[in-house]
Amino acid sequence: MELGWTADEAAFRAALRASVSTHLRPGWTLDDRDMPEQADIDAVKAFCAALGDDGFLTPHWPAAYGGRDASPWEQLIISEETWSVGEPRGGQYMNTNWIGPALMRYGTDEQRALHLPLISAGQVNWCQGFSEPDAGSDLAALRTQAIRDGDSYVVNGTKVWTSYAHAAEYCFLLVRTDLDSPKREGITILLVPMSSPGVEVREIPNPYATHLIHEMHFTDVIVPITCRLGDENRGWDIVRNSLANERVGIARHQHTEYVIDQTVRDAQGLGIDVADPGIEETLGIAYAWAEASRALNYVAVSERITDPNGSRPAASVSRAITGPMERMAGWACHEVLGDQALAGGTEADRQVVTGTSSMIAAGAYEVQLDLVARLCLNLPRGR
Amino acid sequence: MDLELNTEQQMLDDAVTALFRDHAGQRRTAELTNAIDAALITRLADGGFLDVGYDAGPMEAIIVAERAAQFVACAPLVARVLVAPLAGVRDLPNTVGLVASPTSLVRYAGLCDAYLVLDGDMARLASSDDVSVEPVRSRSAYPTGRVHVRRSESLGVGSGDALRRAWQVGIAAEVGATAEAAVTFTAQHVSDRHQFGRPIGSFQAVQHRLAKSYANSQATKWMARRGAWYHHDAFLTATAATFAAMTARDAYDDCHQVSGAIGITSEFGLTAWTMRLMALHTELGGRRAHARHAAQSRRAAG
Repeated sequence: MELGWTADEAAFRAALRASVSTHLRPGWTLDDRDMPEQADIDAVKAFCAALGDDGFLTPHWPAAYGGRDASPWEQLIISEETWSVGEPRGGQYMNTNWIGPALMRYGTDEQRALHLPLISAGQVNWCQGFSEPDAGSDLAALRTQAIRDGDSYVVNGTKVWTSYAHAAEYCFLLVRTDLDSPKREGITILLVPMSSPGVEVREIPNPYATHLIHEMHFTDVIVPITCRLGDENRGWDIVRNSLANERVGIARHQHTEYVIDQTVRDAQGLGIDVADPGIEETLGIAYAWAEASRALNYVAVSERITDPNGSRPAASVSRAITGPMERMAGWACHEVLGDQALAGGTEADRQVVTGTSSMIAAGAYEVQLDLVARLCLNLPRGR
Repeated sequence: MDLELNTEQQMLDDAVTALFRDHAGQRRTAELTNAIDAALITRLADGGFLDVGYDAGPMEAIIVAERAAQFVACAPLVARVLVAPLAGVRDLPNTVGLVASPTSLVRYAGLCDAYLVLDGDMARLASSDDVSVEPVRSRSAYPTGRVHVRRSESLGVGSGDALRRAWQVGIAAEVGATAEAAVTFTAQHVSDRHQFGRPIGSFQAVQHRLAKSYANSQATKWMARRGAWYHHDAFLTATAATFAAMTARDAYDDCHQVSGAIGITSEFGLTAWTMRLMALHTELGGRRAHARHAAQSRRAAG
């Protein structure tokens, strides 16, 4: 065990931090990450392009695809430095973390040639078409159909809760191509241009944020078979691997500590005594949760290095802490600021959004507990 | 960063695990009433395990500390193996007690060769000849008492903060391993125990309590390890102790709740760990004090 950063990792962080600081749009907040305005979509692409020019967008990719085979630790450092300033990569962290790697592993030469340069240049937004009205936590129950018609599929169905759909040029879409086989065996992945006729995106209204979640309707959408990733009906294996990557190395702890720090500054600005014992206790507990999340996030990254093809129990253990951490931080900040936390624009106010969604999105908290029970404690399955 | 044990650390872990498995554990602890396991201490000293924190480093010390907690060693090993080296205190006898204040309950009071004493900003060292001990009856798993110091040696400017940080790491290391052992023990029980025609561990309500406590135990273990590595960082040591206090309480609750009535019997074995968690939960001021230290250190760092 060597728990400190190496000199190279520290130097990488310092150089990255300078690059992020140079290219970050002034005043950027986590609200902007959802890209509610066209200017935000443009800002994400400009930031990612600049980060790519500096060598910090996809350094963890293989050299053959423009990276330099940097370690997952450096990938984590990128996440820590970008999350600490509100994740100015928008949804492009998905591109670099798991969509790109999935294309490298399962894609055709043509797919790699088309998509990977766009991703590594920061010039494309993707969304993931996973959840459906009747397939949320039980993702394999998805029913969006793709019926083979010559050299194409005809796609019909609805996806929900999709982030970044309004800004995306492509969708990583899960469809059912075999209605008769067991539900995990009839799933296929399609790489769908969002400009395809029959694709409709609608924002789902909510009191939290603009363009936070969307639903996507696919009506007789023609998708060439050249847009299929991997073999037909074998998409679940790809998804499992991709989701494992999605769960690892997102440095929400870094952002949460930033939120708590900013709340302390906001409180001081309002004349609140942050040395009050009760407030100190509330803050200390929130910080402790953030550090718990950081510690386990690092373990999950280590697991990714040492056992990349395993069942990734540490990833689920990490998620079982990260979700509550986000929610705890939101309430703690509200308790510190009192009713002033409800005034729009504070980090405490934004944390309500993050705290609410973090225990739901990308595999609900309860699903993570199920996985911990099975993978770590070997508890018997229920009926 | 490298979170895997290196070859030497793995060898150390194997050796110390075997030693504790053979010479510690619930049965051995139950044999010892109001005593320190002197035979175990001798074996550890002879093997050089008491001094790994000085000879090898904080990660090696935490390996021994975690195994001592897992196997409920009946001796103040974490204080000697981990806390003292992190606090920079050398040349200690084999058994050391930790004293937070004249009124606080001290584990193994009256049974240690020396005591490390927090005295405001200062840490002090007192030999057993220089203290008087007031035994206190407690249902905690440890022999306890209050330690009144008559004469002691100052350990210098800044030594109080160093001892507090090291002690916080020690609490976290002990809680992490103790909670993990309690949860693992309980998981086996609920897998074996059938009610309503099925293992009670197959009910999601039971699974989720244990899964949550298991995740907490892992977080605490790794926070302790990070705290040991960065033991000069008051924010990391205080957050580790804060989370440890919450983990201790929740693991106690969750393990007992899903074990049912058998869980509170001495015969069953769970209390070997949970009664220790109860004591660790409040040590050095408990969650409230640790959390305040965390907030203060963060604020001081700007």
